[in-house]
Amino acid sequence: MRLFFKIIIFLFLSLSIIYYPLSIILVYSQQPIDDYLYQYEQYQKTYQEFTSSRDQYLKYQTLTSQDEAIEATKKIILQRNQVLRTYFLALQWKLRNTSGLVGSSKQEELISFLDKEITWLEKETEQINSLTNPSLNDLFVISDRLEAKSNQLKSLSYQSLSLILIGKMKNLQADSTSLTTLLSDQINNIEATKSAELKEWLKEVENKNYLSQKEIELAQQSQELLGKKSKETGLLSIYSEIQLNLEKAKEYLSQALAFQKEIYNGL
Amino acid sequence: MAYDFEAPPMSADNLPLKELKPEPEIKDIAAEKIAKNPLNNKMKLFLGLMMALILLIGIAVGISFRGKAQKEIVKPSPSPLSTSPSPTSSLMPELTLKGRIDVLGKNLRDIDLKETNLIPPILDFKLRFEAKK
Repeated sequence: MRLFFKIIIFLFLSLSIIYYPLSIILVYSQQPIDDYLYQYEQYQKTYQEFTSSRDQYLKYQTLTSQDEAIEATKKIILQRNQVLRTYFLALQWKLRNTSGLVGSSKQEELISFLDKEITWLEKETEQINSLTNPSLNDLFVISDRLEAKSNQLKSLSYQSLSLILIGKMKNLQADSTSLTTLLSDQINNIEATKSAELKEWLKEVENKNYLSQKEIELAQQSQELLGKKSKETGLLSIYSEIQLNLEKAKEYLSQALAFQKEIYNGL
Repeated sequence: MAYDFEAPPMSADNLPLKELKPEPEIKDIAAEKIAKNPLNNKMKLFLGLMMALILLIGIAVGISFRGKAQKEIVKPSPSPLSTSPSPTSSLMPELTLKGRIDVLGKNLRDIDLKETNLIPPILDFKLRFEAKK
């Protein structure tokens, strides 16, 4: 009996050892997103320290408070760069891993744009780190460079995010279409009277698939517009529109699926 | 010098006959020792565990090979966005019609069209401040 328990414990341990690397892979499959979220959390803490140091300096204007303000400003610029860098890496990772986008020219284009921005941010960070005893003004000059690019970066972010959502929906739409083709093949193999009715039902499915496709196309058109907008309000409204189109596309696919189930049961 | 010799032993014929006792059973001491020896039990356990480990490694290798085979099926070919193949679609022929319907239903339920984790971060881009003199 003891031997039996020992074997059970050993089996459990062995399974844990064998599947541990697998679990690590699963856990770390979201690593770029987790990295970004961690850096964003760090930014929020650093930002509080920055505002506190800044307010102290503005209030007392002592040399000590000035030194503290310089240190805090340097830290917040570095952390802001780090947030953006990890955010772009997370977007790149998501673009690469969204099945409906694999190999598309738009995906490649956005990944390349994100790459450029990541390199730019890394160079900026290097420059800040190389400064010895920077003044507040030195740091503001560096910060202003990112501020000048901020709208462009926001636009790139929303373009990437929208493309990821579109890719997901395209994937499901393709699955629904190929399922419809399979059902059609099955219908053709059954007796004529029954098949006539099911063919009518299949038309309904095709119609829903078509409507879903149209919504995805509308979302794609809006996604193209994002590249031309720079103000955040404009970007947000287009992004909301895209989400709405994709929600509709999903709804049509859900209806198509319900019909597909009915057809399958009727076969 | 006087030597005190002991009497010579008697001939065996003159010895009184003793009742023959049944010979004690010859125990397989070696087998008993092996059975009692805790080291032997450990050996059994060790062998059992080794076999289990080999079995598990076999299963793991099998799974990894299967995974590789599936990855090869999933491998997409580059094409424009409008015609990009869906990796799940390429896997689908392996499933039954019912299986495909179920997979599509699950994917439709699970799809995340918000991606809240990837919404652009809210950052302060205007850091410039000036002390009043």
